[in-house]
Amino acid sequence: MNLKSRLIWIALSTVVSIGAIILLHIQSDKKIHTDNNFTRRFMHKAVLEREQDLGRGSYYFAGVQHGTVFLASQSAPLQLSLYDSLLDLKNRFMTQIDRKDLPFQTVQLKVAGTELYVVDPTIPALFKGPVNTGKVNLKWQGELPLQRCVVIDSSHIAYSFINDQVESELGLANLNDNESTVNEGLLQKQVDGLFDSDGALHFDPVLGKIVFLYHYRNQFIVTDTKLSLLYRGKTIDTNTVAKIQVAELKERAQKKLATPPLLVNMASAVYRNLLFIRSGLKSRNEPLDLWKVASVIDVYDLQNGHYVASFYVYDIGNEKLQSFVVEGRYLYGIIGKQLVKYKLGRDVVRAYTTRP
Amino acid sequence: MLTYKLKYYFISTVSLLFIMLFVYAGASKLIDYENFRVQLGQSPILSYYADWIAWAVPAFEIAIALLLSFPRTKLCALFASYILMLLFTAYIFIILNFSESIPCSCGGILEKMGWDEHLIFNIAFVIMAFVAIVFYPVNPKIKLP
Repeated sequence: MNLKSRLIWIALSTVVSIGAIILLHIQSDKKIHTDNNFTRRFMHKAVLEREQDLGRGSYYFAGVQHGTVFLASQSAPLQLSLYDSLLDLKNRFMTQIDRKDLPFQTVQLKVAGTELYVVDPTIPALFKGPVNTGKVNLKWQGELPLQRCVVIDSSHIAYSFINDQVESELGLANLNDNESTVNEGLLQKQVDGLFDSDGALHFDPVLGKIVFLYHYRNQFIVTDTKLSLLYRGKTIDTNTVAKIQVAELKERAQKKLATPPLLVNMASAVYRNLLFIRSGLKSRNEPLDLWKVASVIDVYDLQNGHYVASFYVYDIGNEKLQSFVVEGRYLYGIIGKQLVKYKLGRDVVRAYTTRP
Repeated sequence: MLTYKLKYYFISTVSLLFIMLFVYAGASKLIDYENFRVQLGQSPILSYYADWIAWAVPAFEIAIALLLSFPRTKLCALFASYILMLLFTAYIFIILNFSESIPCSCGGILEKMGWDEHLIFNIAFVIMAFVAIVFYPVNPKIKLP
């Protein structure tokens, strides 16, 4: 082989190999985002910024606004605690309800905008009042209890409820005139229509999108503020059908889970165009030892339902991340008795369509 | 003008360096195969193909090292070394545009290098392979004086 043909060969192989890597990169990028076969992508780490001991467990997030975290507790149902962005306790008060006669069982507090909402999944009622006074009044009464609900604006809520056939459905209620519209068929029955259609409801006021995320299958539903379907999205795992077994107790007309279900999507949060999901399943490309000490959070872009990236939130002691909320660059989580604040990685922040 | 003898020694040295590099890197990957596969899985470019790349890369490395040790296949193996090193270098280039937190999966002691050092190290090997190919005698059957 003479020198000239060697140089031609070198030039050719240089172009081909660099081209191959670039092609591989583009291809892999496309596959990961659109037809992912359960491969997670880890780029920038989320970093633990602060940690605060809450003294006891049983706390949950009532909301987060401009760096103020609102916590409520199952053991003190009407108490609302305000933590600032340094996770220092700023204020704590008891919510005053005007109708104490109702048979409350599991009161839930929610903060949206400047309003405080009180609901109970066993009672068909909703209470509302300014968060700064801590006083709420009966605002809405329906026929069926609000299983889960999200505040759309000061006069509308989206909710899930259990219908006469003991199956879950989604509805929209106008708080001013007590009118409700139900969108039948949004939730799709797979096994029993109740447990298989259990999930989390979220709303982002900036984009005006309602999100329902199934707990037991790899799907989420995105609708507009009128609850009309925009699209059905898929999470990256492969569980298209809920793996649950249900026993029907005929005499009592009750349904119960016969075996522990496979929880696909655990805790979740929505902020702007991003959906954050704590997944219950290990992907093909993750080491098992990391799963013993951390929880994985997958991020999706709600504009097109594409997967963006994943990151880990580490356990504290033996406790895993139970619930979390996201605001801008920060994730606030509850891990056992600790409140934590994580700074999101650059790749996730960059995926916001509006600057946080 | 470099003498024939000097060129010969250069080619032998470069081949030896490549053999050492590929045998070492290939063997460390195979010995710690599981770890290597997981590391590849976390790479933003290769994660989707991690399963087959995990064995293909060390297999190629060792095969090239073998081919480098025989005079008849040496030129061909030098081409292959050049291409492989170039692939690694292009890969690092893209990785650098992503993040520093991605683990390197080169195997053994090579993982101790930072990404920038790695880039320089790789480019040096690419250049060495290039020069060795250019220096390679047209008729390798001519014995050294």
